[in-house]
Amino acid sequence: MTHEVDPDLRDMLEDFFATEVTPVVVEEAERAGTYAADVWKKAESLDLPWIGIDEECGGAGGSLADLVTLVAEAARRATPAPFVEHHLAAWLVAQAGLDRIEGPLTVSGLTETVEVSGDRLTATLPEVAFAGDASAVVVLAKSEGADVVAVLRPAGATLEPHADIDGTPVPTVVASDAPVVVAPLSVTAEDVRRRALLLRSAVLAGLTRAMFELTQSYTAERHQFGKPVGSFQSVQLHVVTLAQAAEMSQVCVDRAAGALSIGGGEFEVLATAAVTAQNAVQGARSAHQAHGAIGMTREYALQFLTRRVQTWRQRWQSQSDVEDAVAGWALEAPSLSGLIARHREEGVVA
Amino acid sequence: MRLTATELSPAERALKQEVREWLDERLPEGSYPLGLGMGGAVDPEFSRDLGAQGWIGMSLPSEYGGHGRTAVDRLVVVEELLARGAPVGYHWIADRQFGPGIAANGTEWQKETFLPGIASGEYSFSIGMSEPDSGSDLASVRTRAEQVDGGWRINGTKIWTTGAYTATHIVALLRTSEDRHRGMTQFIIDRHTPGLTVSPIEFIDGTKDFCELSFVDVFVPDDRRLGEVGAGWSQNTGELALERGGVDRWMSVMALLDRWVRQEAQRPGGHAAELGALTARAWAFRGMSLAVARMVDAGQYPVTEAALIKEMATRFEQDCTDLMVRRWGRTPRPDSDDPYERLLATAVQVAPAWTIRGGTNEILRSVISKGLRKNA
Ligand SMILES: Cc1cc2nc3c(=O)[nH]c(=O)nc-3n(C[C@H](O)[C@H](O)[C@H](O)COP(=O)(O)OP(=O)(O)OC[C@H]3O[C@@H](n4cnc5c(N)ncnc54)[C@H](O)[C@@H]3O)c2cc1C
Repeated sequence: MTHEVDPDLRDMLEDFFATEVTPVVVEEAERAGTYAADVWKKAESLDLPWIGIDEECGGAGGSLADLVTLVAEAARRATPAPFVEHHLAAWLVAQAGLDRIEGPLTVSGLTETVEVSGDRLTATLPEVAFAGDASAVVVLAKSEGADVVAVLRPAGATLEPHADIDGTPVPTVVASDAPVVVAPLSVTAEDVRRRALLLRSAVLAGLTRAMFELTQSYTAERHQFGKPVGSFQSVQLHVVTLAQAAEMSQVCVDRAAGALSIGGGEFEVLATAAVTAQNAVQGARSAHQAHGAIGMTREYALQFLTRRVQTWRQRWQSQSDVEDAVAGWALEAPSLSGLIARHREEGVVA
Repeated sequence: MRLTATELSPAERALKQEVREWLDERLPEGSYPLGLGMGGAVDPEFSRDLGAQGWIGMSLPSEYGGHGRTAVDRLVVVEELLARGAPVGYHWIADRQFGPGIAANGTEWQKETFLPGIASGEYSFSIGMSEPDSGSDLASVRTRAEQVDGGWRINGTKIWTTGAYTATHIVALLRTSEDRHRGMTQFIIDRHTPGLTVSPIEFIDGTKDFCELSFVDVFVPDDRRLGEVGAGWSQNTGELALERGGVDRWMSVMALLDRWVRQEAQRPGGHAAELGALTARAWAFRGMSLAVARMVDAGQYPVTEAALIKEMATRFEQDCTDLMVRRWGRTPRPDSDDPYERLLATAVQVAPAWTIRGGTNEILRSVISKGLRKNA
């Protein structure tokens, strides 16, 4: 089985983000401490934020492969909008059997346990991306030991502003006896976290591809010693490193999406999360090195990508925890060679 | 190439102790913004206080306000400063390279005019070498100084001039004739000379130390020319051992590491192997920088040795930063209440610059291999 991405969809998404998300758009959103509302509106008119949500739940349908393509393409342009957070929130709402809530939505409760009692929530939710712009914060929570969804409207909470390294607003949301809509979840909290980790990997894969593309074109244009710096072997090494990272990350993300969509996929998602974070960090080093001083300035677009690498590499789970978890699989498997070559079909691991 | 192992003498160890005690008083924890090595905060008052201790321009001759001390003495002082992330930004470049540069190549008048202000910490110098089209290929600089009555007229653009906004002086490498290497001359230019416009360029972490310098018919008298006409390139090369071999090339994150190690010590089942590897390498780099400083004191120009150290030491700094970020458990927040977390958030953004500034690692590798071939 291959996990093919629909090429028409990919082309459409590539065009959309390339046209709509210019460096000026990214810069302005960051300065204003908000998201790119115009881009979001246009994306809404094409139903893009609803890719990966079943149609009967008010979504646009589409596979996990489509979803990771959307997320990677948005990241490739450093789109300052909550495509990942909105998807996770909308997916939680759908899994809880609630009606569609108009977006943009954001999500919380992925890193820490949030307890809800009855239909009231008292909690401090750290780093809720774009909470100030979201119509609802969808919280993965526990109620009497069961996994539930709690939908919090921002009006019921106070926000303490914070910004991430990449300029994304990540306020702390403080709810004190705030009214919430609570519904039981038909999937486990582990399923939600796995999906989140897959989407983080897709973001990193998109960022890595963009760093590769930018570096390749810059090193072809920038001249020193009378020739393009890309003609020096040591600069070629950086471009090659980036190409390797971009290809490896994308293949992993697509395979992990395939594995997750047929059930299970935990090992694949963890391995992908480990690889994409390593590749993005290594890629950012190479991209900066090949650019020289200009890449270190706010005027030039590389920093939009590399600062995002820093925030996404450990979003929701630290790199070392992910790597520890992968190690756990290796230690438990009968053989390493068996683990990495296992073949998966609907629910069966051979 | 063969570096000679060396240790501090009793007198040098006493100096270290003296510096430590003074810094404990002058910079108690929490009283200053923590910095990343030579990128420490710009604080003219601290620089003046340090100068009053005799710890800036230490190697300069005493008749010009210096103290006739050694490169090793300077290493002893600066490693104490960098370990604390001290606010060294204002005087750093003057202390490290242009004090010695002017002492070596300047006229009597220049030594009398500039060295006392450098040693007292009153003068802040910037390096005006790079241009928009001349980075690694520094010998292609085009900003021109034309000889006119009584001096020189300068036109062109310099870029990436760290600290120019707060500097009092800029040493610029300018084109004075078409000869690629022998057509460049150094000039000492007042920051506030008419016709010179300094514009900040926002850095990746939002700071504004990076500057662009625009020269439009800037006049400088001939007495500001540093060294012979056409000697700029070789003077510049001579400064490189000072610029590249020092402890500042591997101590950018020392203030962070010190704190991180204390934290790791409290963590059960910590990551002892990584910590051990890191500690051993830091010790090794310290030994190499010390050996290079002894060579400078012996009158040698360890340019290849300095490049060799910088190329790997800057990668070490990046590896340390990455390790700390991984162990932090999440991405450090730039607006955290904890000053160390804030500094780590800065470090992770600016770390790529360490293998670029002062000559990229790619260029250093060819400098090293040329040097190795020459010495073979
Ligand atoms: C934080 C920081 C502070 C700085 N401060 C100052 C300052 O105060 N004053 C000043 O004058 N300058 C300063 N610089 C500029 C610095 O000296 C240059 O960035 C550096 O020399 C590289 O030049 P460039 O940025 O133009 O990169 P480029 O020369 O354009 O290099 C781009 C890439 O090509 C590679 N490359 C180029 N030529 C070759 C070759 N022949 N072989 C192999 N690879 C090659 C480079 O290694 C790099 O990877 C600073 C830079 C930084 C990042």
